[in-house]
Amino acid sequence: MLDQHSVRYLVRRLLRHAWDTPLLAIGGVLSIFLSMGFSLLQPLLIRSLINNGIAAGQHRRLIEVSIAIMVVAALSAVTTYFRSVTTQWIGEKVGYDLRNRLFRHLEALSFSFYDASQTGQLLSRLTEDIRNIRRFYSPAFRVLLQTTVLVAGSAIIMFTLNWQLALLSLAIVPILFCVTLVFGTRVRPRYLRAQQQYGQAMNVLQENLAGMRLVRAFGRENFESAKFATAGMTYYHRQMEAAKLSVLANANMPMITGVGTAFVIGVGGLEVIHGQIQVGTLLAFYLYLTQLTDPIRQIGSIVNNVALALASTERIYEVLERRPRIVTPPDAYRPKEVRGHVIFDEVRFAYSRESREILRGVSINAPPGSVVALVGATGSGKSSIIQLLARFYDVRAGSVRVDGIDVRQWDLSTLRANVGFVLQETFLFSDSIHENIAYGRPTATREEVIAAAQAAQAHNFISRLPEGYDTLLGERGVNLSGGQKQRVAIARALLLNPRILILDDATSSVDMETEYEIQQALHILMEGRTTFIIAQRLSSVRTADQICVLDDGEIVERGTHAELLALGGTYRQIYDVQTQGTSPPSPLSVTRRGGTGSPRLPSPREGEGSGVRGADG
Amino acid sequence: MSRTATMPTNGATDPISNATSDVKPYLSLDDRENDLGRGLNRESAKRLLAFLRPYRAQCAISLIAITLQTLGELALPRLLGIAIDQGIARQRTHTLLVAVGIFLGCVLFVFAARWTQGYTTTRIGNRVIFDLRYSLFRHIQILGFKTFDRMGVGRLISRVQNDVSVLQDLLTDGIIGLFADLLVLVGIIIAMLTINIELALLSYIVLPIMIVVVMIWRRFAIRVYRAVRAATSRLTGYSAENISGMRAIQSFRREQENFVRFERLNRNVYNETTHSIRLNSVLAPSVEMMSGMATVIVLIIGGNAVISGTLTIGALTAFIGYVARFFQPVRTLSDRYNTLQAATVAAERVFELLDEPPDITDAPDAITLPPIAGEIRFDHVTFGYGTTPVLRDIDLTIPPGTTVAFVGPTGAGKSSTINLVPRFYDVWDGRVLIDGYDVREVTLESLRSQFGIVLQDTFLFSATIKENIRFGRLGATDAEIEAAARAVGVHDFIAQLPEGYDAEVGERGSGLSVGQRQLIAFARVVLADPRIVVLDEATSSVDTQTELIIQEALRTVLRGRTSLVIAHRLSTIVEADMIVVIDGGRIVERGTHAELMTQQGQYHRLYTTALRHTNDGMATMAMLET
Repeated sequence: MLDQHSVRYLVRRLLRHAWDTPLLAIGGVLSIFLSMGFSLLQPLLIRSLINNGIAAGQHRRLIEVSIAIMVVAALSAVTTYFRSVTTQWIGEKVGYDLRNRLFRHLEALSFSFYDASQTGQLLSRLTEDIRNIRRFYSPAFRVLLQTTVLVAGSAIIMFTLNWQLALLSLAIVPILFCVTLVFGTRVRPRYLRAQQQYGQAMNVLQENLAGMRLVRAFGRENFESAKFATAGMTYYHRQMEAAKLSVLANANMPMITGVGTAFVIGVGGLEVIHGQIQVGTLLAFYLYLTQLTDPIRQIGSIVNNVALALASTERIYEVLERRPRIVTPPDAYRPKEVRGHVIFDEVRFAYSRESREILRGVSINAPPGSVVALVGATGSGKSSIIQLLARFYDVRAGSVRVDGIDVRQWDLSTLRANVGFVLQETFLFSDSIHENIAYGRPTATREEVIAAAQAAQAHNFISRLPEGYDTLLGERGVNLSGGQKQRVAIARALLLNPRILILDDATSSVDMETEYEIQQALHILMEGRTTFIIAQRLSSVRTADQICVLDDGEIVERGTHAELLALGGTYRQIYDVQTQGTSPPSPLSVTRRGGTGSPRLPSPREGEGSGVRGADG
Repeated sequence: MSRTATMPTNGATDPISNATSDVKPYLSLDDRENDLGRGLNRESAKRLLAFLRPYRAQCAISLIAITLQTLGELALPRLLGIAIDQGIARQRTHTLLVAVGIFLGCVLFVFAARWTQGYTTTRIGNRVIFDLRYSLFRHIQILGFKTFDRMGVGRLISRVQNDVSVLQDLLTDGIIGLFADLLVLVGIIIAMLTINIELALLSYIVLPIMIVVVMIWRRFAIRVYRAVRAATSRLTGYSAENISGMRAIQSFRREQENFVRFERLNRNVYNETTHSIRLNSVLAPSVEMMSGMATVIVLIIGGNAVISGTLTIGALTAFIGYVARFFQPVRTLSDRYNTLQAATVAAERVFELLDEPPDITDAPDAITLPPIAGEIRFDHVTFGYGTTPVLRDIDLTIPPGTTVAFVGPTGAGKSSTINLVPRFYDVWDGRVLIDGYDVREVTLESLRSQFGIVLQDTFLFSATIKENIRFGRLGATDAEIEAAARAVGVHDFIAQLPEGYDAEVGERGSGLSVGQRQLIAFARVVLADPRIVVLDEATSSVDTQTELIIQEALRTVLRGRTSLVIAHRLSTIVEADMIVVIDGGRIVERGTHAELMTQQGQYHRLYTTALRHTNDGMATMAMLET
């Protein structure tokens, strides 16, 4: 839970946001005061109507006060309208601004931030958390202020009318507060527990559907139904645990007011009989009591609203206050022309300060137009190398230089404009195919897009789609197969016309025939560009000018395909495994970590795993 | 939502693995609102009531309690009036105290009734919702894959989640609330009429105005509300996509462009919402106005009546109390109407799903398939998903214990072929025979229990590794599970995890590498020890070390069983007893690797084109020798 200091800090922060629109803020507070003022007037008017009009038999007085009541009701309605509009509007405006700020900021944060965060979590900053913050202004802040004004106003008026009766009536206020707070804080955790259980039950369903073939094939329908029934029944019980309390809370409040009212009528009635007050005054007390109950009743949920809003504010600022680590330096290098000479100079790198080094002194010299292939097991550091090249991360020691200039001196945008990616998991957006191909160059014409698609062997299948290049992808549109996606990605990279190209195992998830087509497209793409290829399959690296075999962050072998085969080292072993599938396991991977002596599967969490999917996934 | 329906290439081949994709839930616009404004359906109402039948007694309690609660509440203003008239006005202390005592008793009585009602109603609601969800779940277990193809998994989930939730609102709040509102309305009308007919009728004047206002408001509100929902869901969809694609955005330097789009969507949400704020703020003050008007009418006319002695002051007080409560139900009734309509649509959808006939069921005279040897025969099989056949005249016999590798381009019909054997779909024409039994003439249970299956996208449940392997045979002991894991070479990996076999694997097996997931799926099959194995080989690449272990494990899995493999690995293809090349829904070639290579046909072409660009000539030679 939040400590007092941070609560005050966060509340101040939220109030300051409201002050961004001073007119709304002032209007909001003003209309709250006014509308409450009018509400407070009504019982007094009715009192006057009864005491001075009806009881005194004054027809004119009766009409006059009635008209006054009508006027106050109208004014009250108008101020209520403004109160409702302004307070909600403030919330909406704050939400709008925060969303913009957050999105901008998210765009500026580097890969290492995304390595450590989950999409769903970040998305909920933009949705759930903003919604919670909106509720801080209305209803939370509004109701709190309203209740305060109402309680204080009623108290003052009641005391001026009759202090004994006032004390009696106000006695229920603290009781109401206590009850609503006690229940409010107890019910919520129970509902949260129920909600979690609901999530679990639905997870059973989701998995059941996703694994339906398995369920059917193994004949596990009853087993699954029983699993669902258990989860569902637990949810039911949790739900009832929460309901037990909230139902009681709901029944409690009117009862407390009712009991209070009974006492006020009893005592007040006696006072009327003894001539200390008039009937109208008694009625006014009755009306004030009724008026107070509703807002106080809401306090319980309002307190929760505030707590949620504060927690959300904290979460949002946690993101906003994170400084983007990778930014363009002040007098950045912005060359007119890029040759594409890439040098890795004794590069050391780790994904975070604490974690172990993924690259331990890697040096590569890739002259313009040359092809460098990176080979090695998962976690050996291949993906890290290509990500450093586009400066998605910064090196720990050493330097990455493009055209002789350290990438940290480059203008980020210029640098990345000259690095094209075709990655293992192609990320396409739910836009048209045209927009996806033109993603790196939104201004590209249709002719240019088609030309790129043709070169990427994608034109044929695209033109067969119902709406050709305007076909929407994703949710509302068409789903492409893995191979088709990759060819669109190749077209995308082609259109960008980068000097440096990065290919990450681009052909692994397609069948053989498609692989062939993609290979051809890639050859066109690579022409004349400095290219870095990562490949599990040696086939795609055979023609490289330079093959670097990585193991545990170091380059252990280097040379052309023929040279490395002749060397008879690690490369040769991998080669044999892939082409024959029978050779003994590579000694490197067996003894590398832990030294259990038995063949061990590297876990994706180790080493570069989280970054591998990197740039495109 | 119906992704599968529009997919051009791998259309209906694997409806299930399309299921739980990333950003989907955020993108889907709730189509419920499109149906608002439709009439109530008696048929669904009746069926919904049938779900309440087991809880008849509790329903009765709930209704009685709410009636008592309403009566008690309505008695309070009258009691106040009596206290004033009989006690205070006549200066009778004793009568006043008695009246107050009754008032107090009435308050406590209302408390009890309200508590009983609230608790019972919530209970019934939650219970019925459980029953409904469970029925749906059970029904989904027997639905055919055709239904999944057609509806899409997302929509099925939304039926069980959202539509049922809407019904829950109806059951816990809607029906009882509606009943209570009507009760209050009628009760107040009667109470007012018994006090003073003239005054009562006068105060009703406002009612028609009020109803018209609410109705007009409602029409606007629905439209605006829908616009807000649509704008919000567009923004959320866009945000979701951008966050998950942030790396691509930064790679392609789209930050500025995408921010401009985001801002536009955000502004749209802002505009629609402020619009709806202005609208939704109108209703409460209007009701307040009406209520004020009615009160003033009562005050003027009633006040005069009191002055002229035809009405008591207590009666007037009671009247004011009733007028104040009069408008509450009128206002909520319109909300209830919304709930009711939404619920009608939801109910229709839920029952539509419950009525969906399972397309694959046991024939009435189905027999139990005895333990099989594992011979599979496709007897001139034709099959498709929509209207055009995907497989044409497939005729193939697979002897027991042989491994068949299916090869061919994407969409050629490989998946469709293997889907027919465990009878995930029924053939259009021809027969699929196992040991001479037509798969349609034996019980599904006895048929499928003799199968093991490994899918391309290895599926693990969020449970422990042990439980995931045990899924293959529920009764298996820990020792048997370990033996299975050892057999496929994944034991060493599991053993070195801190929690070993009890390690939890996350959603879809997150936390494990692709290779590890596959091996666990293999262990599952080894544990089940089926006669027939259906295997869709994963295409995603793994590192060399893992590749070796998987190749070895595959041999263990396939050994001695009839195996149908959609193969992507060269080693699997080459080692298969028979290779079947499928193209355009037909078998174009069949034979061993060596035979097909000498035929110089499509396989030869596939093999060499793939290899020419993937391996050295030397490598090809190396392979031909094995």
